[in-house]
Amino acid sequence: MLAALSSIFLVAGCGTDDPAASGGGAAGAANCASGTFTVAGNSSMKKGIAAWIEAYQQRCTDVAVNFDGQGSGYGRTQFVQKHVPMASSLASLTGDQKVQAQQRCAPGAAVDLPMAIIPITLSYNLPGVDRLILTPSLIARIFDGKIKRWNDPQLVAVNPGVALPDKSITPVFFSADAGTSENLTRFLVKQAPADWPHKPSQSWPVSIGIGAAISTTIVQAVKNTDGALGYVDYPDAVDNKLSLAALDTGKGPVMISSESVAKVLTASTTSQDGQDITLDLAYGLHEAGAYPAIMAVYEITCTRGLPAAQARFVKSFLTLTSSDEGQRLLADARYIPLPPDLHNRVTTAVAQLAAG
Amino acid sequence: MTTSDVVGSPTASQPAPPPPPGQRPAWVEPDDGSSGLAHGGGDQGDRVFRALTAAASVFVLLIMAALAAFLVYRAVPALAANTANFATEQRWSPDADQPRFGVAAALYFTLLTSMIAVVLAVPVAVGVALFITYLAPRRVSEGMGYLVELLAAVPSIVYGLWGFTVLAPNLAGLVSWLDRWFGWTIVLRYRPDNEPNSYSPLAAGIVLAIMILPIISSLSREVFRRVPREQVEAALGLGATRWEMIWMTVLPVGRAGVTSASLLGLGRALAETLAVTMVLSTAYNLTVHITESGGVTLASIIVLKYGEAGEVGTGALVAAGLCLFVITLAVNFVARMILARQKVG
Repeated sequence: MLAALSSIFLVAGCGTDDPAASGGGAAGAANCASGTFTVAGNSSMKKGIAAWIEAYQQRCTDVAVNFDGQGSGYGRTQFVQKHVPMASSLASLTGDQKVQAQQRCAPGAAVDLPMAIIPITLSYNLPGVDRLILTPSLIARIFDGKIKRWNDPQLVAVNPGVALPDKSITPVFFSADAGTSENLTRFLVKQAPADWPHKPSQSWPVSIGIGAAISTTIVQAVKNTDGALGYVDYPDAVDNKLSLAALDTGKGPVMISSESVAKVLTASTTSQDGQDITLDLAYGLHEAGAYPAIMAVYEITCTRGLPAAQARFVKSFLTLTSSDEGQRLLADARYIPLPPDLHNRVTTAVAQLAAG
Repeated sequence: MTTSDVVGSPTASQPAPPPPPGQRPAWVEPDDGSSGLAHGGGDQGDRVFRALTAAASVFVLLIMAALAAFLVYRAVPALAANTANFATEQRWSPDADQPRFGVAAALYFTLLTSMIAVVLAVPVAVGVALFITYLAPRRVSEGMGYLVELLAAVPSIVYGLWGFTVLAPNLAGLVSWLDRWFGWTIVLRYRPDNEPNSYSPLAAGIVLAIMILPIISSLSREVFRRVPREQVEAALGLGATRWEMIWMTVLPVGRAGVTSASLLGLGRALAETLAVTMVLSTAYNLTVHITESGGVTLASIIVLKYGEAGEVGTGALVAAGLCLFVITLAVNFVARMILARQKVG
């Protein structure tokens, strides 16, 4: 039955050139798919993917795209088990799962394509305190319970001229396993190993403070608890108007911006194997103007080997997401778009995906 | 088949002969000449009815068996890969190179939060049931009964959000008070020197208590309503006060029913997922201090870990689910047994 469906789409014009297509610029979704498709992956990408889906569905009228945001691991598992043609994940395919994915995509290959960067903020709730500077070692000590009050001398020393109140610090962490916890723990291990004696893991290793189960309650816990300090994804933090701390890795305080994130990506190692692009993020970077507490979002799919309709969808969707317009939509949704170098690599890789 | 001799006529001196094997006993015409049920067609309908109801029951049993089989099938590979003791290990890292996971913490907090819920809910529920059945005026009691049932209609995620945003942040005063006056019970001691933030087993227990209140209350009402009216009025007639009447006649009769209702409420509390996940801050170390934040239950661990679990991780979560399945089944079974024995005796 799948063969019949595929042949219908092939006959209907998969691969014909659309005269209105204008290359990698604005009209990236020239070859529209039709049908209903599901992408599964991390909930932190929900807003970004929603923006992409809206743009995609505006130009492709006969298609419906759903996003199942139950987690990066869930997305990867769904992809490997052939339930979805594309997964969004905060970690690239590794180990056994990579082998299974390659089998799934045979005769093509399974690829990770970075599409967006999500910085991790340190959001705090201190009425009257407009600026706050934190170093990685202070962050580690706060979350590990070693520093308990805001007016601790170690914090005051790093924040000259700021009147820190005598309140207790309430750390807010993710109860659920999350890629954000994993990336932040990697950052802390690289930057402050003496103060953070735990291994990087998706489940936050310390139970000091408030553990919140979903992103709504994490933001709520920070907003409603006086003296809270939580690590919140940048899009959520900005949307909810949380106060963000500046990060000082030894070369001066840095706030989150495209530039401070781009510096980290320049210093990170990009490995490319065919069309598979993976990043080894430079969490331990000590550079002026760089903000190394970031996460890379990968879209995982097959280069070839998907049923024709799905392949058409994946290629047209990723062409949109990696185009200038798609990246601009990301920035509007408060994500950090790919810096130019990485962007070029990704657009080239997307162009080489089979279209059906 | 024609009717045999009429049995019971004044002149019959012998009982009718037994029907030949394989045949139903002969239909006996009633004395007054009415025809009673028609035979032939009724026989057919009876068989169909019996088959359908039997099929429904077997279907339910099959579903239960299929669920159990699924749980065991998915859990076994993960349990085999476990390098730690499933029952005693507190940590949960099934996706590490050396999988180590165990339900010690989850099981402990599941039982702890459920026990707190039952201890808090049963007195209130029994009080509500007694009030509605014996003490309130008729109109008030109907309205109250309806309102209590409404508690059961609130979705559990709403309870979770309420517990997280309203209840837990406002428990600080209560926790400090309990620590000051009842800290000697160790269970209510609050050790950390920071302000209590109360995402604790106590907060989860309170939310669960509110959720199981309607179950215990409505079942207790049924039990109290069945107390023989004569006994109640006899006690009142002998000069007992309301309270003495309840203590002497209602509670002894209703004891088994209330126990079984409480056990059913306990079963509900054990299985509650979303509300507990949202109110309980995550922690894996066992502690007897119920007002200190942190804990994880069998149901909440599945919700929190499912999104990022790998293959062994998913199997480990199914094993936790199997554990919960067995416990809840046992509790419900005991509850029904107590109730059944009371009806018979």
